Amino acid sequence: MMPNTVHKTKFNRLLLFSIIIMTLFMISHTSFAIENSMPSFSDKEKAIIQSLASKPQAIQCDPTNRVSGNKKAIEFGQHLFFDKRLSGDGQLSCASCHDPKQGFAKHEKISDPRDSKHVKRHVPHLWGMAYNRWYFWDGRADSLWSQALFPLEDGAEMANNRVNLVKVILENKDLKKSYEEIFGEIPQSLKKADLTVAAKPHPKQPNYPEHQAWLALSEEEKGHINQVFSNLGKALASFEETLLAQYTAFDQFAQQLKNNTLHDEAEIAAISPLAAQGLKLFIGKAACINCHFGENFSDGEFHHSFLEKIDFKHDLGRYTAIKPLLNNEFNANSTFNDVDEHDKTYRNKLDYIYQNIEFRGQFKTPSLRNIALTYPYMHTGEFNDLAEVIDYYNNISDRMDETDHREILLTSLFLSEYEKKALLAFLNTLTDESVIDNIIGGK
Amino acid sequence: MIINCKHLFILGLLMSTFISLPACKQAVELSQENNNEQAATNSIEQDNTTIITKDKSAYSVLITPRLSSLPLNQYFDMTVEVRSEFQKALPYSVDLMIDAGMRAHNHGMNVKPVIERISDNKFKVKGMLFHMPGEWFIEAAIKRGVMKNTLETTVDIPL
Repeated sequence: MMPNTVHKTKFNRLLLFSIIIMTLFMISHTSFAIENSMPSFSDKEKAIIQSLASKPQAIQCDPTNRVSGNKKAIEFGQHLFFDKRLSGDGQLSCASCHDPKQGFAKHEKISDPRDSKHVKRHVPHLWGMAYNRWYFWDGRADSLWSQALFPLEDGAEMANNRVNLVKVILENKDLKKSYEEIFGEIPQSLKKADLTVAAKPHPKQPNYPEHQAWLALSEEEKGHINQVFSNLGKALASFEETLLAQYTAFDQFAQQLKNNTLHDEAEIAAISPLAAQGLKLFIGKAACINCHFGENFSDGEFHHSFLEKIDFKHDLGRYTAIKPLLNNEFNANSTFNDVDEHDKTYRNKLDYIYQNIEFRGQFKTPSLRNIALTYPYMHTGEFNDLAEVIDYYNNISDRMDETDHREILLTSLFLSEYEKKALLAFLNTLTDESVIDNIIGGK
Repeated sequence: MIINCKHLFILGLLMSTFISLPACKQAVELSQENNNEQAATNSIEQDNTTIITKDKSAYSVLITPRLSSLPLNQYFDMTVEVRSEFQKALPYSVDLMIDAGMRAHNHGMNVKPVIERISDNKFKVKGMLFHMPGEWFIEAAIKRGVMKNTLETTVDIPL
């Protein structure tokens, strides 16, 4: 080989190597640049972002609960929430499953504290309950206070009964004092009554001893017991209404967009460019906004997400909740609703619900505020982290069955790996732990 | 006469045309019908009312409040008045049924509104709820005896 040829070959190799290095550098630099570039938002997108931002002043008290927003009731409700005396065996409180250290949820797929095998759904988190129209995954309660009564008597949960709960309040000076300061004196008849008998209505099992014991009580006693019982739900609800995540990085960013200060050199955006790109996807290509809208990031309504088949072997969600909701002795049509009986405004939503075959397999859209704290996800608790949830919706067409009643728009999203990362980054900006810190710090 | 390939081809062509003719006719009729459905319904807003009319229909429907003001994910009531095609009062009374849904989503409302008669042809429709943003159709079915007429319009519910 001639020396000149050797030189040429070496030069060519060097050139090729340089080109590869340059190309790699440019690719990495470009992706770095994309990741660090703040997207621009159209006026329409800006308006949507403002609709998602929290508006703390706009929160209204629940008119069906006369102590909603009452400071003493909130304190009493918080006390009750952590009080194990409310359970039948003194072993569990509401916080046992809605643990503040776990985002007022439970980091278990299915939490079944009594190993009853009757718990079929993942513990829902409690963020933004004040905004909801229906309660539980299937919406079988129409107010937060009536929802709070279910677990107290549920054999798989706190396994108590309403007569014993009245006894607990009467026998413990601290509870009795707080209760009577808020709701007035407990009726004399209850103070004299024999409250040692375990009694609660159980219409589906008329031979159940607790049901028989309930029937044996006088109408007056039953009325007074139900009054105290519903008041406990109202105190618990007053506390739970305060569980709000209103001061998230996203909310700060929305404020910055509103004030148009992001162009100022001194202003640092409250969320990263990657998260802002995720926000753009959230309200655009990924179409999350179709169900997760409003300041609670939820429509509060019900949808079928193809997690389970819609046949009678599986959990039918909203479809099976309609009758229990209409028959609930503490629903908005009951005398325990504190809205004046002539004011139909807060009663008539029950007039418009009905059982429709379309409701099979539908579950309530959860709020996404503090969602990063409340893993695992979905009513089945089957996804361990948010990346799995995004993957699921990204490939949802794979899970559809021809027999499913479909939301046609709910199809695979075709998000790239980068876009999925951006969406995840955005969901992580919806966290505000200040309420948790206050509650844990105050205890 | 000798039947060759050319003749067979012509025969085949004639037969296939003959067989497909009714289907084509049906398709054309269906398409015309669909065009009529789509083109014939009109809605205009006057003050706080939306007036829905349809060509060749005996009726028009007046909905208050106007459709462009309907809220997202909040219950609302509507007053629906059925009038003649020229928006005159009807000399007889009719019954009304209301339905709504999102065709692009393949679902209806999560509620069943309650319809109360205010007068012969005026109704209060209570408990409507458009729980998602996007295009909703509203269908008013007007019944007189066994005869049923439907008028439909769409409304975009923004975020």
